[in-house]
Amino acid sequence: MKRPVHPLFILTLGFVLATAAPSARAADALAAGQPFPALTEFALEGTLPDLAGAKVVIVDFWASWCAPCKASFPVYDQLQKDYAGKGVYVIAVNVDQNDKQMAAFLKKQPVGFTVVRDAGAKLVARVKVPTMPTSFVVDAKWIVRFAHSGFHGEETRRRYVEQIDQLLQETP
Amino acid sequence: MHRRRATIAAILAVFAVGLALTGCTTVQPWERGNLADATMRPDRDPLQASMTEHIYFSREASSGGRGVGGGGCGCN
Amino acid sequence: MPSLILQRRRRSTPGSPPSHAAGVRPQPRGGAARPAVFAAALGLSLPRLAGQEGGASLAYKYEIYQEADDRIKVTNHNVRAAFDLGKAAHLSVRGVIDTITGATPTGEPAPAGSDQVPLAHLEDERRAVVVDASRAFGGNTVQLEYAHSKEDDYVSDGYAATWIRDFNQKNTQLQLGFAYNDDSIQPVFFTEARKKASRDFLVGLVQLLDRNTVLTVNLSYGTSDGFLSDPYKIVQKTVEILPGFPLPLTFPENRPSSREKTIVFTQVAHHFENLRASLDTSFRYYTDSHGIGSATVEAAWLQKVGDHLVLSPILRYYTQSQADYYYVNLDDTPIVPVDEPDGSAPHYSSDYRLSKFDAVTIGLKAIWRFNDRWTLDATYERYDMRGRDDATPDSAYVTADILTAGMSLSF
Repeated sequence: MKRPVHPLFILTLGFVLATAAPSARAADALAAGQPFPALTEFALEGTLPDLAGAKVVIVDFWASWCAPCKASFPVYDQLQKDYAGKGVYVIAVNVDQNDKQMAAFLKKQPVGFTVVRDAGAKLVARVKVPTMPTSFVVDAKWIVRFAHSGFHGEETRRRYVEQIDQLLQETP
Repeated sequence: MHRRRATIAAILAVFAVGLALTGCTTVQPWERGNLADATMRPDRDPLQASMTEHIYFSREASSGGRGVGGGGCGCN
Repeated sequence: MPSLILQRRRRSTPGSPPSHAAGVRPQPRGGAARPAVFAAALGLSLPRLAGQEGGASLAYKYEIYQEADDRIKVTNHNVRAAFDLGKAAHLSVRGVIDTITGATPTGEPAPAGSDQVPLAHLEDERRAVVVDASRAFGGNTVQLEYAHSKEDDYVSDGYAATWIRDFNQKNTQLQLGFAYNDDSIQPVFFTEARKKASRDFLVGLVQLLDRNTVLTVNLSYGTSDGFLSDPYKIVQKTVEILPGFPLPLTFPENRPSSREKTIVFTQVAHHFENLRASLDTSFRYYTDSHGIGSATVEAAWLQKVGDHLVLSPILRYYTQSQADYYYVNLDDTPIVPVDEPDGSAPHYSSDYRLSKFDAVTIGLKAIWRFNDRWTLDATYERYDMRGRDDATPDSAYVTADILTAGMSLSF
């Protein structure tokens, strides 16, 4: 009565082989070395700062429903304060479907850095963020130098500080 | 024989579903606000899920399906 | 604890025929030998498709399961602590203490002129611990679990491994799970412990259908072998010891010593943004080599009310066919039961849980979320079994009230 091979094992094997193929589309996300799209071309809601003298810009994609995004906000707030007047800007791009969700979030957690809203999800779709949150450290030539996937607390904060300091040294 | 046919039918159904769905729609990472809602999370209450499974396990002749593990008991 | 719970059901004793007529069967004390798989690990093995992360959490739940007519009462304490270890590893520990007391059918039929099946009192305590560790490696997550459960007469050790892989930009998730359970059954009247081993295998697929809908499809296959009977359940056969002098004798039940089961489980969860609500529905089809076939439909509506409250009506319908070897008694069968069955044919059991029946659960859960840290919840459910074989007395089946109260704290 014993069957030598159960159909479930064949199925499993099929799945394993199917998933062993690398996902080609994951590579589409914007990566270090590529130019970041011009923020002014995406009709973002909110006021962008004058970036004429910017040396380092952190562009962060976030949403009110994303728990690590919430954890990242106090860190961005502190970074913005620590580097005030040094040409460092944090721009948080909200991708909530509903602007009320963003407003409720910001009411609970007011911040000192720039928050704009990508209402049509055009910028985020161009950049193709692979996960939420994703942030990009952009230099004075508007080239992406570093990308961060997710937010991992102190570890992420330390890397931001190192990266900002490095870019500030490049652009005295 | 019956069971075997049912198993094979189920496997084909899953393959069909898998082929039909993978890749045809893509929900982007930034479009998952509703999916991230507390009412949508499959693990919204793991304790209660295991307690409920335990009750049905001790009263009905069928068990399992949602996952593996959890441990056994001689529950009456 | 109310004292009436500890009383033996009055009508149970007089109706019981002498169960020592053949083979000593002391009063039941808990211990159904049935395969040991339930989805305790559900929470951890299911996806984090939405990309959420947490730090640590602590949850406690208390439950009272009370069957009507002073049948079984189970009170249950559950604690679960979960921690993130670094950014990719996760650990959770769950502890359970169950206190079981009350009366349960012995398996004997209702005596002539009565529709009440004989009951026996039982008392037991169960302690269990489940440890889960998981770690993510890129798009892969590996989860390992150890579970230990101990009653006076039943010890279970369970090991499970699950591999989860995200692909298709995290729109699809594949899950492979394997579990092995090693159980030991030793009521006081067994001179040595009997063993039971179970292996379960699962292939699962989770697919995002759109920005509001998730589909889960799981296929499971499991085998068990060893002692699969319930050591406390007996069957009755009337034997004519002298012409014209029939005597009802009882014998231990005898289930097959192996079992194969196949399960198809599908679940669809959909969010209704305008209604501020989600619907979670599932369907399970189960079939096994003992002739049990079952279908289970579950639905939960999760309605957000204001900023802090979620109200959730719950509905579940379950229907099963009877086991091939289920008999109300063995009187009209050619089966000759034995005092020390070993799992070989012929098989027989009068456990009402192997009969053809339906069960309906209705319930309401309320979840109050004070803030990001504290959550309280309370659930009331009513579970109602109905026999469908026109042979097993209605008194064998249970109706139960289930009250659950819980709190959780996240850091």
